[in-house]
Amino acid sequence: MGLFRTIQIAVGAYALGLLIGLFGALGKLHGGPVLRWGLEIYTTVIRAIPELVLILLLYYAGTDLLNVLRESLGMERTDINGLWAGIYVIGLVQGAYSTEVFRGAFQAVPHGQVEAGRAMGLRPFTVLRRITLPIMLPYALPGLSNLWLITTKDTALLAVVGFSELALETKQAAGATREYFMFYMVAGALYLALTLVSTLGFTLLERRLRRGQPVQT
Amino acid sequence: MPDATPPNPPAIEVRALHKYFGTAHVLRGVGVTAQDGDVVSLIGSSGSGKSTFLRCINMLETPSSGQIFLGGEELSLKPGRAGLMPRDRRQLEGFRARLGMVFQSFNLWQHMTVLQNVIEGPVQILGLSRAEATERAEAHLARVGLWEKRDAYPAYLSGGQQQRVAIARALAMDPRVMLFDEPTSALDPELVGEVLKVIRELADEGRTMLLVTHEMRFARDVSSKVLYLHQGQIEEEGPPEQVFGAPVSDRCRAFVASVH
Repeated sequence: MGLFRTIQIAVGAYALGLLIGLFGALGKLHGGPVLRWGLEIYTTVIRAIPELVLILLLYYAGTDLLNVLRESLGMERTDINGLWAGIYVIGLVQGAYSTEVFRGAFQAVPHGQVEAGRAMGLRPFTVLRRITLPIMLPYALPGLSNLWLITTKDTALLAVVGFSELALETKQAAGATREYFMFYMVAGALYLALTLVSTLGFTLLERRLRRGQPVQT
Repeated sequence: MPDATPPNPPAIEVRALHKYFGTAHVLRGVGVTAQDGDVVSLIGSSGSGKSTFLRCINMLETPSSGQIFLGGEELSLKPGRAGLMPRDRRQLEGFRARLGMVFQSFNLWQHMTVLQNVIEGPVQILGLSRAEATERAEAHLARVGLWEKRDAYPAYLSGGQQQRVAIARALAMDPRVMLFDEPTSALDPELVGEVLKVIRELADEGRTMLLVTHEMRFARDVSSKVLYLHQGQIEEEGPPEQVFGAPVSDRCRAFVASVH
């Protein structure tokens, strides 16, 4: 059950992070000065603060803010669903890191590839969809696979706000039964299994995306 | 001869094109006119602005001033921050679709097979069905001698083969005018011939093209008109016999003598 929750949050947060990262990178590369500055502040601040602090900050401050807002609108205070709060908080953190991963990958795309599309009369969005994105992705993948593995483990930090995922359930089970060794070993093995499966997935994905590129020897 | 028929608009006409890179005035009022079927070669030493001029025609570079006409239709431009900007993106995209560009560095899309490279434009821009585009693409690939490579990725082809695919890709759009930007300059010497052979065939069948090249013998053979550029200006212009045989400009004579 805890493992399932962990995966749920990790997948949700990662997807949100990718979305933020993709638009963040495009904004940083092609946006106006205001947008670029805003994104610069976002990535700098988020990456500067320890994630544990960010989670506490965003979770409690975020809940507070939402409730202040609700009260001012004449609604009742509410408890935030832990699952969604976890996804938003970790997703926001992930977004800052993946913005930088995508930015680097976009810049690695040879300019001639884009120019060939523009010279043919492809619309900017078609160039992005058909040329820039597929060429950029293999460059982003090693960084993205790192971020995914970090996300799966960041979920454990949500234990501090009382969200019952794998780490917190392990702690409770171990505390109740005093079988610390067994429960923590199992939890470790579960994280390891998750990592191994993910790594395999990323390897296959990278091989597929790198089609057309001869293996460097 | 009586001059009764109304003159057809030229396939392409560029008037008084200027281009600044910062404070450097790299194009100083360059113009060119090509009727349908003309092959116009641009020659000159590197830095003379010939490639920049070609790239201004489809707005890969931003001209500072000037006019561009394709089949009599003027590209609508307005002054912007960096130079002239298209007034209407769609019109520019339409112009680009009718101007087939072949680059010095081929620029085949590396994540697509040869066939996918060639059908991309017809499917995305001309709205052809995949089946129809494939059928036409295979014909274009056959004529550049690369039909059997249709499922290969560009990285597995030689430079000469990649450039021939790039020509097929441009042809697949059935462009009104083809722009060749030093198509053989990045090739090993032994691969130049196969690419020039394809371009020569296109010239022979009446394709309109503007060709920036360092291959003087080739330019002399295929061109209907040759422009010699020097420091952003047309220094000599005329039929190849004149430009290569009896140029008016001393500089042009020296340039032609130096590369022959």
